Amino acid sequence: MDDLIRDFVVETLESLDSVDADLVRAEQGPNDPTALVHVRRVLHTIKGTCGFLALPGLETLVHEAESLLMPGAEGPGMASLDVSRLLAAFDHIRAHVQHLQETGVEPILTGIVAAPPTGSDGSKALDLPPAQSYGQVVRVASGRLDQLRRDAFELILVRNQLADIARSVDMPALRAPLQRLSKLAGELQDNVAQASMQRIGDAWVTVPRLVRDIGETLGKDIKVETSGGETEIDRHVLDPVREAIVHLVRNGAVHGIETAAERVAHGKSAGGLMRLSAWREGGSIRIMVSDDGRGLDLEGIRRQALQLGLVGSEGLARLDDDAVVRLILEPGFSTASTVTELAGRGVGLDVVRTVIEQAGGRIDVRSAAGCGVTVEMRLPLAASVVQALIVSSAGQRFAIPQLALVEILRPGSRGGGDIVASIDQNSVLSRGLKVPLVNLAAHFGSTRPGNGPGVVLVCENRGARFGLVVDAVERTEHLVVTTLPLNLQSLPCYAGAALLGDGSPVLLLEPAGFSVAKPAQLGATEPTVEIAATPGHGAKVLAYRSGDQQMRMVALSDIARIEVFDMPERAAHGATAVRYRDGDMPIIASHATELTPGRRLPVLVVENGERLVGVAVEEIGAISDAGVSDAANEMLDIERLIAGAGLEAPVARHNVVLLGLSDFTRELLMPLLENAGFSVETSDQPDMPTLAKTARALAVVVDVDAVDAAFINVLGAHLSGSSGSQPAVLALASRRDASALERAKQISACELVGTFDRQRLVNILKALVQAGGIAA
Amino acid sequence: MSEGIELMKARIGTDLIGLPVGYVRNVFVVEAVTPVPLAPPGVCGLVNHGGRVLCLLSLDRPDQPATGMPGEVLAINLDFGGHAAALRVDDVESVAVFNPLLAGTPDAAVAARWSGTAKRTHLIPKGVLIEIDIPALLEQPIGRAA
Repeated sequence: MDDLIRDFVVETLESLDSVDADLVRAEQGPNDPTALVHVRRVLHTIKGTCGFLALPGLETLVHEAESLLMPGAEGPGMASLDVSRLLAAFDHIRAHVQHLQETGVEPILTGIVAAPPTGSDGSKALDLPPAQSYGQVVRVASGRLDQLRRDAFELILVRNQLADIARSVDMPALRAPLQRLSKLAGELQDNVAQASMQRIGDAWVTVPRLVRDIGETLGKDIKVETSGGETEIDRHVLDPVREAIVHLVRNGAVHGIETAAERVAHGKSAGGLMRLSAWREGGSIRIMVSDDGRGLDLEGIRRQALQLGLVGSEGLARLDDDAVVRLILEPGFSTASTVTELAGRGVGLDVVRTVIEQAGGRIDVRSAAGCGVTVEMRLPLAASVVQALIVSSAGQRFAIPQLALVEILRPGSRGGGDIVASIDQNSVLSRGLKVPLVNLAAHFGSTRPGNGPGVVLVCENRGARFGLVVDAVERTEHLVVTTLPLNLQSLPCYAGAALLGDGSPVLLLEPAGFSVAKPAQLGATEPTVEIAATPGHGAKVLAYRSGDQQMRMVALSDIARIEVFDMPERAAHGATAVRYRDGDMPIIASHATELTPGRRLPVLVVENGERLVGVAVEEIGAISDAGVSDAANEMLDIERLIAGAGLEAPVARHNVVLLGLSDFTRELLMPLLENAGFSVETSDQPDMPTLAKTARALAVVVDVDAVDAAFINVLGAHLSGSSGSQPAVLALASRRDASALERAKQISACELVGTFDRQRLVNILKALVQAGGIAA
Repeated sequence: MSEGIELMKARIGTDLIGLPVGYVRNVFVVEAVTPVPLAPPGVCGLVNHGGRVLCLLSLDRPDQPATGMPGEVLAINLDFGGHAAALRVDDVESVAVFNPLLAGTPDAAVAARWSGTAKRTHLIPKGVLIEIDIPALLEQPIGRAA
């Protein structure tokens, strides 16, 4: 088959799924014209492409379907449309396209959906809004994308191995390329992951049509409500669970929701409701499928469980209602008394459970008599790379997804100046809440004592917060996470496993798998807790290790650059400084980092007023999102660090005003002058604010080629009329001709410098500084 | 005439077991084991085998942590329908062909001792070889009773 036709077939089948849903939406909400507009636009596009690809049969079918839409084209006259007939027409088109997909040729038209007389001539032009413009999209075979994904995983693993080696041996030369590799590997992984993301709504696009068909067959009026369809999830996680979602919906619509008569008899509305919703929670995606039907028959489940031998009578007596409900997830379980074409016998929930668990997720089901059934699935956000904190507890390392954490506290300690929290055996105070604690070592039954007061990882589980106490937070790391081996998937406290840089496996903790008591509101008599303000989510922080071997964080926005310097000999007064950007940059140490001469250290270059200051650290770590990792380690207060370093006051920078320079020349000169230590101001006009600036400047640089006569007159008059100290005036011109000299004279310029002779300009300005003003 | 079953013979303590070669990928030396708190009996922990995380199972010492075990730990990499695991053994011997028609059914004592993972028994000159039911082992590892 021609590639063009192959692509067209794929797109058309996708579009038909979406127009099914739109049509049902339009039927349920006749006052919303957008759905019908979309349906018409899709059909119109398909028809137009058919003409281009010479598919006359399909073109005819689509044209007829368009004609069926005409009654509603004039406005919200949805009632006049025959939706069932339209859906049948779409099915006809779909079958036609599928035949084309399978055989490569169009089928012979054996029956066309009859169009109503009013629209069959096709003469009525459709009033379509302008087509939306989409960005350029390139179709890539999923196999290639998967290979790229695997390669990115491998790269992350290799990067982790290298990072681990670099931690164990002191190889300064390795640091810079390793940081670069880390950055690139992270970006590649992010981009590949982004390419694999898919809207969850894509998995339930066919649901409205499905439910409508079920409703029509069984005489039920069922509406579908969806929310969170725009939530994105890794395609590799979503693909296997699509069928499971549809299966759950089908079960709910067929077995759960009652007929209108039954509902009314029980005081409910005649129409039933299926709800599908998705949202992100911590490191997981939650998908909920619920109905407002009769709920599960608990007595029926108990009887069936006994018959199947899933549980003995004594065991059954001990099960509470929630546990009884969960029996329907056991293999082979069914309570449906009739077999239907629509939903079998209600079997298959064990298959749904298997599918969800194989995708690394969990499933739970709840039922309320007369109110309906809710099935909630928790799926991993991505079956791939997770940014995790590596923590230690009772001598063992664990990983925990950063997304699952709210904040991290060091109880009883004062880090970064302001973090204060109190802790007792069972709770920690955090943001006005008493948060219950789970000690990881104790939870795991370890008898090994912890080291010190520990660190509290505050996690959120179903809206309730709890603190997981570990001994220490070691670092952050990108982990390629795999699902747990089959034998361990029943353990709820683990989300997966991964390999660390040293090759050892690590378990990824699942905060939702720890059951804890609900947090209590803070009592009025209890002390309040202040948590240090941290950069908001979305801001980036950089981790680094200082000389005291503590990992700290610094807001990325506080750093101008990261450089590596060999530490120089200290000056006579004990200060350390390096030559940097034509100036001396003082170097201060972050927390006991040794500035031993000759040591090669990473240096965070920080803008401190008008000077640059270097903060030497032992090792640069990963860049991550603020909000979690920043709280895991102390946030560096750079201003405080510099203020406490006792640096000499910065030398005042000399001000240079650039007047009337073209954009090109300005872009050329500004970085040069700034790097040479000058503070630069610019203006296009010789207005009063600008002229006032010149009074404080070391020099004024005027491009006499670019400014007009009026500019020169105003400036000349101002400078000749000024009293007191005057700035040096330097004229720039591309050619040293008579005209340029004349204009330079008019503004009392002491030098005429070639526009591109930048070094001479810098030399003159430096000479001015040394001379303390206008050069002789 | 029934086809023979190829079994890889391995020793666990004083017992000889047989593993159908179709499930055996390779034999390797375990370098480090990550314990799995709360794991069911029979799970020693997680191991890295060629960049893949495997669950290390033990049929005879389920309660003994694999970390810190003296000497080298030998493991057999097993794979059943994409589910892989490593089985800790003390020694690996040759592959031999056995006739299933001559195999016996594990008696109650053997069945209880191997917790449902003993599929058949085969007579060998030095005693009995216990054929392990790999799907049962990988889906529900349970330590052998003492």
